[in-house]
Amino acid sequence: MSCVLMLSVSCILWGLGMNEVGWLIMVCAVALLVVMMDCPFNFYILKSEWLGVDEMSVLMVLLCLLVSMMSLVSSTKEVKNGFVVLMSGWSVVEMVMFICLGSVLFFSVCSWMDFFFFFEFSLVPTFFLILKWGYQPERLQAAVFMLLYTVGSSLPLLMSLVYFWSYVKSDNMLLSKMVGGWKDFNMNWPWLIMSLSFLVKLPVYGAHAWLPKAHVEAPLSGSMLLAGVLLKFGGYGLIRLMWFSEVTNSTIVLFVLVFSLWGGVLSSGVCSCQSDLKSLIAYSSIGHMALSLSVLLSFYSVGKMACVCVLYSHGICSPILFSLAANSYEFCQSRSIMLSKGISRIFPVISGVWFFFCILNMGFPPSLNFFSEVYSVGGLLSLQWLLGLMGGLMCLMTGAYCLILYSLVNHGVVSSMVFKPGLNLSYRYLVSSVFGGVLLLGGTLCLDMFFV
Amino acid sequence: MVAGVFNGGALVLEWELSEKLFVETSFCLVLDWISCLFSMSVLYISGCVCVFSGFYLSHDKFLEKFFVLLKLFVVSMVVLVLFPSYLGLMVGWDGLGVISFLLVIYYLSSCSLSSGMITVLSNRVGDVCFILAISLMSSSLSFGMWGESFVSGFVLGIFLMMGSMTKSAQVPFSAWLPEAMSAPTPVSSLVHSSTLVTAGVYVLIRFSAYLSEFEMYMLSISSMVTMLLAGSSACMESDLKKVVALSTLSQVGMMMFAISLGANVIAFFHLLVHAFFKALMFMCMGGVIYYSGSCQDSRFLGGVWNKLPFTSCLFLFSNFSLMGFPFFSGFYSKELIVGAALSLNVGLMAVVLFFMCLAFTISYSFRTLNLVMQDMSVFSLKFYSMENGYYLSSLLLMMNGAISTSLIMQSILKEFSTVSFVNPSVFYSVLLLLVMFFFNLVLLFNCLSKKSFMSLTKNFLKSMWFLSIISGNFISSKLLMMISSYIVYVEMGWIRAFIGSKVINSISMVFRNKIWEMNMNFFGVILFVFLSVFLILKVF
Repeated sequence: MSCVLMLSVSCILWGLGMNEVGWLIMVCAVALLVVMMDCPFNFYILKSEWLGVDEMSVLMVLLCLLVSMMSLVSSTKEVKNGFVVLMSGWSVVEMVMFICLGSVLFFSVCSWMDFFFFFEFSLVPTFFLILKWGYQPERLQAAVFMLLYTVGSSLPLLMSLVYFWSYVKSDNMLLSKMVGGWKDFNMNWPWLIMSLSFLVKLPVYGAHAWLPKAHVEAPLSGSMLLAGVLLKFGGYGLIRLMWFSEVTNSTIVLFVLVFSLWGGVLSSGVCSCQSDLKSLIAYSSIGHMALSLSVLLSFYSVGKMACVCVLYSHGICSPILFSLAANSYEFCQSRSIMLSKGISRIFPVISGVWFFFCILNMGFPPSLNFFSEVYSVGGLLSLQWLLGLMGGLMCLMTGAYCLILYSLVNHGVVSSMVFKPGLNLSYRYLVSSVFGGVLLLGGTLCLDMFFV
Repeated sequence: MVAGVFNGGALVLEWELSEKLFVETSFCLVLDWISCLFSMSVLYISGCVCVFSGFYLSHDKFLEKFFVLLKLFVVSMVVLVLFPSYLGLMVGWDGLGVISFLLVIYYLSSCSLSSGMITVLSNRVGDVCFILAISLMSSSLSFGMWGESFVSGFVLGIFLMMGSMTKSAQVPFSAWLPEAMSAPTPVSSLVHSSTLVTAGVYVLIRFSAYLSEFEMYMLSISSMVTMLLAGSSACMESDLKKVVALSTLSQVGMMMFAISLGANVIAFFHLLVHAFFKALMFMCMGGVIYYSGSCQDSRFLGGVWNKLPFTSCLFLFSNFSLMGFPFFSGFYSKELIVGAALSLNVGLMAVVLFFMCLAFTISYSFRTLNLVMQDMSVFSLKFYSMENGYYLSSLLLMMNGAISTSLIMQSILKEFSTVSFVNPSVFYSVLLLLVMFFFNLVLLFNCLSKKSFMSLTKNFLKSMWFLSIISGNFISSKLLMMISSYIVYVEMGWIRAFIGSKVINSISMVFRNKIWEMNMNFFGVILFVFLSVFLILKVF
């Protein structure tokens, strides 16, 4: 069945005149993966000694492939002739492929030690990606921050995983759940220390300082991968930790929930006053991730479903917003909101795409973002009415900054930096945007696939 | 099927989205007489508005973009009308808010941006209320309009009512409607007269089973205050489009008042009739504005009666409809509402305020007619003409709306004619009370001719009882100042500079120095090797 699908898709694409093999391979891979989604959502199947599959990991692997595909398409500027900066033969493409490989393996392994290995492995190509292609001291600071925050908070996780390995005598995820998890421990403070690494990776509000710095200094493909894939490591890890170690609700968990939710509201508010486009989109990432974290920690089943849905829809929408911001950087030579303005009169199609993704970011029905937002707020409201009200406040501020973002870039008089000769705009940004848009809008039609 | 719908049947198509949640997430399409009638009138009015915008925006370069936006808007409205389940409703609801933002900021200036922002943020507050309502409804079995709220009590009704109130610009969310007049006139004619503001009323009509006593009470109070606000502000407003917007506001308040009495069908009738004559009024106004060189201020206009006879005739007719002049189009629905208000159980205060609003309507209608039509010799009248074919044909198509639409509707659908028995002593005593009250008011304004009092009253009424200043400028400037100072102190100060730089630097420096010392020391090396061997032996 999957072969039939692949053949038909490739015939259609060939008929439309697409001679590029790269697109074809990627689309076939994605089609194959989508067809593989007949695994049930709450069973975890061990496919081999190293790989374990359930629907959430298939979804995340799909997300990795899609985001790396989009980031490679959008960064062909660095690959085309004349602009390649080599470091002993490695360029952006290899770094992106390394991150993609590390992520795909991270989402598929079924033993805790390999999980931790790939968790830290994907940091290395990201570090190179942020650091290499520029000479400002802020780049070094951003890359070092990212490493310090992430690695420093994951050392307790390593220690506890090693201790757990010695306790249960195996580090297979499924086996540890069958043994009964970690029920013997008093899981208040140890839970917090163990999940600290995931909380820093999916940036919870207090430990979020690395994310805007990293986004501002990274090149486009780095930002796309960081926002699209690397932040989901934290969410995925937290779901696996909660699932396989059978933690129960406690005061610490509620503390983290309230802390992250209020931090989400604050960071959505902070978004409205940013002066750098990329930094604005980075703070919006923090807000979305905070919403998903807080509904996950409510320990409802709709909470986990909504969390995965938010991770997925944010993982497609945010890289496209970054690619649009890079687009406006290309013709205004600046990321500041004072200088890149008023493109609605000169690039109407790009302005339309900006609008479309700004409203998708704020949760426009009938897209996947809307359902994720509604069920997140629903899960929070079912827990406690005040949390639901705060979730609603966050939706309001999300709407505010998304429209502020749109009107900052698109409204008004055309910026004086735009008119320079030799302006040729390629359509690669638009192609990846259309692709992402179709996915997000069409996700409503197969909602069961995303509500894991 | 047409006969079935006529006789009260309905066609329902349901599309199930997800099976994993306990609640039935589905989009269901419902075709019954309400949705068919409403979507027919929306499509007719939007067709006429498209013809009209071919005239009004004929010199504009981005006319195709405007038409695309208008069509998207009409699609959202039709989706809202035809899909009365909560999930399907949100598609239309959000779409309406967002596309009206794009239409309001069509002219790309900073004041249109500020109007667009307040429009879309007020609508967003309503969206959030609806999202919270959906979350509450998730605990019951379906999202449709047929359920009863047996789990969540009256909170669901409050969220529903607040959401509809923001969309239909009731108090305290009324500031956006006059501001949204920065949009081009075709947009106002379609959006702000017949579709956007009536969306809230339509949702309340469909979901009226969820409203309990408390919400009906709050709704009646807020709609009465809205009617008073709009009526009194329109008597002092000098911008003609804003006067028509305020008249829309008071009529929508009347529809909400009818819903709070429980007379849903009468409210729906008034909704349809009002859509037609208000769109016609906006179109006439658009013609006047276009031909006077885009001047909207009534202090510079006058003498339209001589120069644009067809336009002013239709303007006169639509104003008569608005006032409820006997046997024009607006008379039938307004009379039904007045009858319902007098014969159902409301208090004396409600009836008095309602009649006061009717009096205000008449007063500002006459004022507008006077300002527009009487020849004041303040403007050069040489350039008016009626030669544009699009303008004439759109006016001809909508002409029927001011005159006989409601008669036609009433004769076709039997639900629209009701009988109400009014106690004549109540009626005449209230009438007498009101006449005396207005007589006193006129005396007061004549005797107190102090300048400060008059200017204070004018400021009060012109800025809509200060609501437009409070809702827009005050809230947003205070909030943004707060956020900026928060960013400077906490975000950049504590989190980035202090924890980020100093703490982490000091910790890493301390460790680095100590490890350096330890590695260079012979004793340290021995200790390290011994400890690592011990650890490995312990683990395995």
